[in-house]
Amino acid sequence: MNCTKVKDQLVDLLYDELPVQEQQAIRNHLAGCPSCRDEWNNLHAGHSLLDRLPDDDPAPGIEVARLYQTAERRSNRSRRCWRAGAVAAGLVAALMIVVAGAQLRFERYPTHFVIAWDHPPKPAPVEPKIADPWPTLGAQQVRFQEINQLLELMAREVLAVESRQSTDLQRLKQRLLALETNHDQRWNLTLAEFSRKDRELADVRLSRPNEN
Amino acid sequence: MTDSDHELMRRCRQGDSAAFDMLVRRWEAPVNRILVRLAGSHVEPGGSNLVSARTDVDDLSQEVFVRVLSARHRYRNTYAFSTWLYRIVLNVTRDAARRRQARGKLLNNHRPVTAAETPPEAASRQEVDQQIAEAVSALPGDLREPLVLRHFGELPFAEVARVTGVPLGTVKSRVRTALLKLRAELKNRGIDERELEP
Repeated sequence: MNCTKVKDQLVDLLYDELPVQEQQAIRNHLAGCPSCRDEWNNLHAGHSLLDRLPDDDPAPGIEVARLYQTAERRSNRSRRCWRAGAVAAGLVAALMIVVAGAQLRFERYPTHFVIAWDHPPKPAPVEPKIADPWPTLGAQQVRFQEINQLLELMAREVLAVESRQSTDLQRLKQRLLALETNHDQRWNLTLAEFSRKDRELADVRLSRPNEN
Repeated sequence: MTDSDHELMRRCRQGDSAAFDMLVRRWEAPVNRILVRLAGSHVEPGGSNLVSARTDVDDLSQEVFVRVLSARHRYRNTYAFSTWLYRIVLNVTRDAARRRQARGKLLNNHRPVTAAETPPEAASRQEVDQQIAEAVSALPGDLREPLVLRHFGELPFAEVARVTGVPLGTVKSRVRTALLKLRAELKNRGIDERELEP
């Protein structure tokens, strides 16, 4: 027998749950194995310490009648809980039926009967009545005058903006023209400079015909 | 001839209160023995530890049998009655532990050893027993449950496995670990079974 197997069976030996033959085999192993013997001693010590504890049996004192009463009380409480739950569920169900019932439609025709589950048909839209905001002619005239003044103001504002934009545009055009003129002058100067350099180069070549 | 547990439960389901009374009398002491060790010792603020623990165990014991009564119609005799009963015991103790934790009343039972404490040779037997009980209570639940069921409930390992819903090998391994931890813990507290009076 190896130590692992013996150690696994030590509690069986301790609590007398091993066949006699195996008990003997383990005892033989313990006699020659200090490690297993050490564990056995520890287990046995723990067992002996527990054995020291007194049997703390109280005198029989439970009243069976009281147990019945307690069980009955709990059963009643549980039944009450169930009943309350059932009532609550019934109320919820009733509420749902009422809500759902609003969508149920019953229609009776000469030849058939219709039960439909949908939203009730919407009533035809009623044209909204628009009250006359200016019940008197005088009030209308005042209102028109106000609108005219408003339009004139807006027109003046638009003209002023247009005028400002036109001035700005004019200024920009002049600036562009000045830039173009300046550019042409500089270009002409550059061309003149090139021509002069060209001529100088030609003169230099003519004055040194035999150098190559 | 005494009626079997299955027979008593069958009669109990039919409303025979005398059968239930017999079941309670038969199982009250074993259930209490387990509850005392599973529920652990804990103190009520300002109250007597012993009285409080006793009251708690009585309450838990009553709760166990109320649950037996309430669930009697769901009982099936597939396994031993004790397996079903101890499963209820475990559930009741776990619920109680959760409630205590929620209330923040579960105190650490581990008392550190101080130099001023009484030496083991002079300690009275009651004090040593108290230390051992505390060490059992201080074990984690998954180690304490199989140990208590096997040692104090005297259930075979296979039944402990059925009650706790844990594989047999794991149950044995946990009992082994629990015993080794217990021994080490008590040794730390200066308690060695070889030096104790029998």
